[in-house]
Amino acid sequence: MREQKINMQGITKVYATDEMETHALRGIDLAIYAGDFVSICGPSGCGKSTLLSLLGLLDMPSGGSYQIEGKEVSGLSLSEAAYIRNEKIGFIFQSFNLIDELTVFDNVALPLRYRRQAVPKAELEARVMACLKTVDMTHRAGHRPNQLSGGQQQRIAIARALVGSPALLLVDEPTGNLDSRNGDAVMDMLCELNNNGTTLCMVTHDPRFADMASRKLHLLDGRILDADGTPLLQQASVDQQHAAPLRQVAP
Amino acid sequence: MLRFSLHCLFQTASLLLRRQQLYALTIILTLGLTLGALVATFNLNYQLFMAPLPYPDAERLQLVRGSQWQQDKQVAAEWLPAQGQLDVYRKNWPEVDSKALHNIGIDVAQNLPGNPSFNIGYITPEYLPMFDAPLALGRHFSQKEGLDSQVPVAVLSYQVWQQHFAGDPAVLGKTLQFRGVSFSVVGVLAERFVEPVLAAPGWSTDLWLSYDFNDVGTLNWSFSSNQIHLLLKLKAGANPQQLAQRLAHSFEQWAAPEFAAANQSNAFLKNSTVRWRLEPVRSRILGDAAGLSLSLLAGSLLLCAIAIANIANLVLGRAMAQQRSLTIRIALGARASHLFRQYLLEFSVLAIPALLLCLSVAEACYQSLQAGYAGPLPRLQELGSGTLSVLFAIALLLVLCLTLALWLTRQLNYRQLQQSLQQSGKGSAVQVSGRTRQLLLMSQTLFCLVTLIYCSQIFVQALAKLRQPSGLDLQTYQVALTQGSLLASSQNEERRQLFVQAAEAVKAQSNAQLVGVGGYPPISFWQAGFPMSSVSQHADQSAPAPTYRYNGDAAYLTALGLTLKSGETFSRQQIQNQESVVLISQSLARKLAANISTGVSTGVSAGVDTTGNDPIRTMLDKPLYLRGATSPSRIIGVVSDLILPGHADSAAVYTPATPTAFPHLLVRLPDGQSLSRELVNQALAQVHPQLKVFRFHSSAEIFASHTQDAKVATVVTAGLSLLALALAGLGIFAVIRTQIQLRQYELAVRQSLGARPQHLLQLTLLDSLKPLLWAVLVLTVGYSALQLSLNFGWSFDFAGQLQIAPLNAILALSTVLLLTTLIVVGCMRPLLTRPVVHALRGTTTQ
Repeated sequence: MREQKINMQGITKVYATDEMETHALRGIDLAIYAGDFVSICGPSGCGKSTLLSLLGLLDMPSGGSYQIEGKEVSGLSLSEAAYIRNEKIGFIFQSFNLIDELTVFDNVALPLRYRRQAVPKAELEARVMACLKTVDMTHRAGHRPNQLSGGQQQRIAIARALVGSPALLLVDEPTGNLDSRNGDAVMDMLCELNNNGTTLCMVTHDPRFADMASRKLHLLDGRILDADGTPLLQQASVDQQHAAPLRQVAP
Repeated sequence: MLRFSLHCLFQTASLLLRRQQLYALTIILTLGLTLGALVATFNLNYQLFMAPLPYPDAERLQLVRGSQWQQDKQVAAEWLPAQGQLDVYRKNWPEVDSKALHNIGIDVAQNLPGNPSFNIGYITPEYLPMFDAPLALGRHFSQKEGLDSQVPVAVLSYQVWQQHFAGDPAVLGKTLQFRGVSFSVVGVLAERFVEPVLAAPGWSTDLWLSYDFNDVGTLNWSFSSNQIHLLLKLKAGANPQQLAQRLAHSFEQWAAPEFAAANQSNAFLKNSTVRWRLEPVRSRILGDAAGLSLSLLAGSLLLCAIAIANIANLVLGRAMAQQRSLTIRIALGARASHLFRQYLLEFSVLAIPALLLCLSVAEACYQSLQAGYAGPLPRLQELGSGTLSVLFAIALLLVLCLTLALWLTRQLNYRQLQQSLQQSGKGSAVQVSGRTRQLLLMSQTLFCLVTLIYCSQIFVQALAKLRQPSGLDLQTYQVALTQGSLLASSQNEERRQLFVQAAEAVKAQSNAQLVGVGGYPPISFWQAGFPMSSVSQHADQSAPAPTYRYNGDAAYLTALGLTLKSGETFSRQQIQNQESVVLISQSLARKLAANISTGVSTGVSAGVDTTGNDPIRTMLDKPLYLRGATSPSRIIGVVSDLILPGHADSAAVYTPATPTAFPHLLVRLPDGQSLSRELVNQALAQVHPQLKVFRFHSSAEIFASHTQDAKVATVVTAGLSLLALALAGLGIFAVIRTQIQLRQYELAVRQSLGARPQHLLQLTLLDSLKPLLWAVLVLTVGYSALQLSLNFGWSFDFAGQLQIAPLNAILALSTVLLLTTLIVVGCMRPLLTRPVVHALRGTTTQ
């Protein structure tokens, strides 16, 4: 049995204002295993981004349990969450989110610079260059992000996400700001990463790219839908669900 | 159209005040307070340097001045024989339209209830017409009431007319009695008359009397007084320099031999020459007020600069917060000009209450200045919230509104604003370059540092002045007496005896412990003070040591607070005989002893103490030549120093003389008892009916009035420091908040990559402290340049106060450092205590 990376049970997220409460997620049960490539799709406002934020510890759930590699992370402090995010999670954003003031090299090196244990300079350089090589961008190491095309920027963002060897790569609409050729290239790269063992969880609107994942989750009104369109409520065992993943995986 | 615009204006204003009360209030207060101070100081400086004097042909009014020289060396900067002034007045000069003599004094009106004291101007008839003094009643003096006429007439000031005669029109023809002479009132000046203050700063004349009755006595070639003024009104086109040369040349011809002969036996004046010059009345009125008034202007400009930087930061921060509404406006077709008009309208709405506050603050500043809180300054009577103040304030606000609106409009990135409509609002379209932000922060910090360092130094100096023990006995009373007609009707010795009797009578009447009689005390009601005299250890008056000189009996010295350090004090016999003995202060003793030991003095070298004894003791029984004296006085004792406000030196010499006119009684009562002017007058009446009190104060009151400037300085500098710190804090807060708003997305990205709160705090703190380092660098370079320029011989009035004391600089720096750190932590807190996703989604932090 493959190692369980993520285990969410009964996760809820409620946004409360003075006037009303909005239930963004209504009891999500989700397990992601090492080597999985999970895509999450659904209409606008269904809770995709909220789920991704919770998965990436960018926000905390209102209820439920969330474990990363067996460790409960739903009640962590901001500082502890930052540590887990740095060590265990890699992000790829729709708008790349590279820092304009830093060079490509420094952008990619950033997660390593926030490590609790300082990474030796030589090791840092080696890892950054290795990641840049993975995305075929070593020749742009000294450039600034605004000197690169959108596709190139997203490749740098992928390198940055990989540099910390995260347990899980969270990908938010990776092709949203790219033309189709660059979009395809990025998706090829993600598939290749998955083939090489990287665990991926991707939010996308594009059914073509969603279909490239090994598991496809549909979200509607804060719930994960079954293949027939009914909500999957409180599955008894996520292991069982994973044992029969093809229920939700497109042919 | 206008109605519609006004409607829009008020609608915007109410919206502003309702939705962003703190923003509006901060801008109104910042603008109102700082521009108010700027308007007031600008008006003050305009009044002093630019505004024409309120007299006809004021540029033709000149004052005759002189200086004393010996062998091409200036001995006294201000010295003109009174007899020479009188002679010049009597002569005809083709370049001169009219001449007037003026002298000031203080005397007691003997026929008014309570014998009130009045500030008196003794004038010749030309004086008041020369200044076109408007009349409320009656007339000026006529030529028949001029010099040598001996006709006693008086012109009252409006205030005296109101206060002592209840504004009665029948005052004309009534009499006022001074020193036994009855002066008939011939006129009352109008309330709007602005007196030219020629003698003492802050002087205000209560009434004008015929010049013949001045209290100086007979003028001669050895006497000079800075209270006597000879005024000339030149003919149109006359050259003052040429006239001054003519005066000097003429003096050589008509008076130089007389002057030399009269002063042959005067060691101070023999072999002296007089150099004549003309000084415009305007510059005399201005005096040395330029330093203070320009410092006030510089201070308010600095505050204003901080305030403008603050406001720039605030409006920028607000524009960033309004990005969404800006985006919508642009989507609806708004162009840059529309946004400019919108901003201008908003600033104008805020400028209206700011203008009202600004004018109120300016008015409060005028009131404070007129109340003397900044010390005596000329032409304060003319200062007020007139058209100039209003126009200047409006112009300032208008320029500021236009500049801010234009600057803010240029900060907007329209392309990005348009694009942001299609995105999720990430990033900011109000683009301010990092360099601009850093520059704003640096200027803010620099202004704050300069203000803090400057103020802290003045504060420390003023506090030291207040806390320094003066050595004065503050439990005593200072009673200044006038001798009335006795000055003319009695001999000097007779008056001396009367003054001694007066002291005894007051002692008996008041049950005082001590009553001393002497001349003007070291500090008295006479705020202008007296120039330093000198003493010499040589018969030829060479190597003079500057010193203050006072006279009085032993009780007077004790009542002053002096303690005998060595030798003995004056005996009754020494006082009665006016013997040639002196007491000197410790610091003078040390100075003289040092002169002896370094061989400066040769005449008394036999007395050099080489045994290592106390130098104070070595001066006992040594001879000392007082200025102008040909025979020496013997030093019989050394007394403690008095460290007094406004006195550059503690060197003092005391002589056992009872004055022949205007004596001062120093009265010390047993603890818990008090003295009144009436009680002293009762005692004086027993001695002679002409003896009256004309000034009555406790020493504590007098000391407090002399340290008023230091008190004001401490309060003002403390207030200014707090204001500068508050303004700088506000400005630094606005810049840092803006920076963090601009960077919040980038910071969120870093957070999403695992940056912990301390990483982000460190990052923003270092970024925010860079401008502080730049400010310190600029300050250091500026200070070094100032020092370098001083080494090259250039001097600046303010340099003395800009000598950076390391402790003050470190304190100021630490304060700004702490302030910046607290602001960074405060601004970062919301970002660090909420989920990262909010910042990533572009929700503002504030």
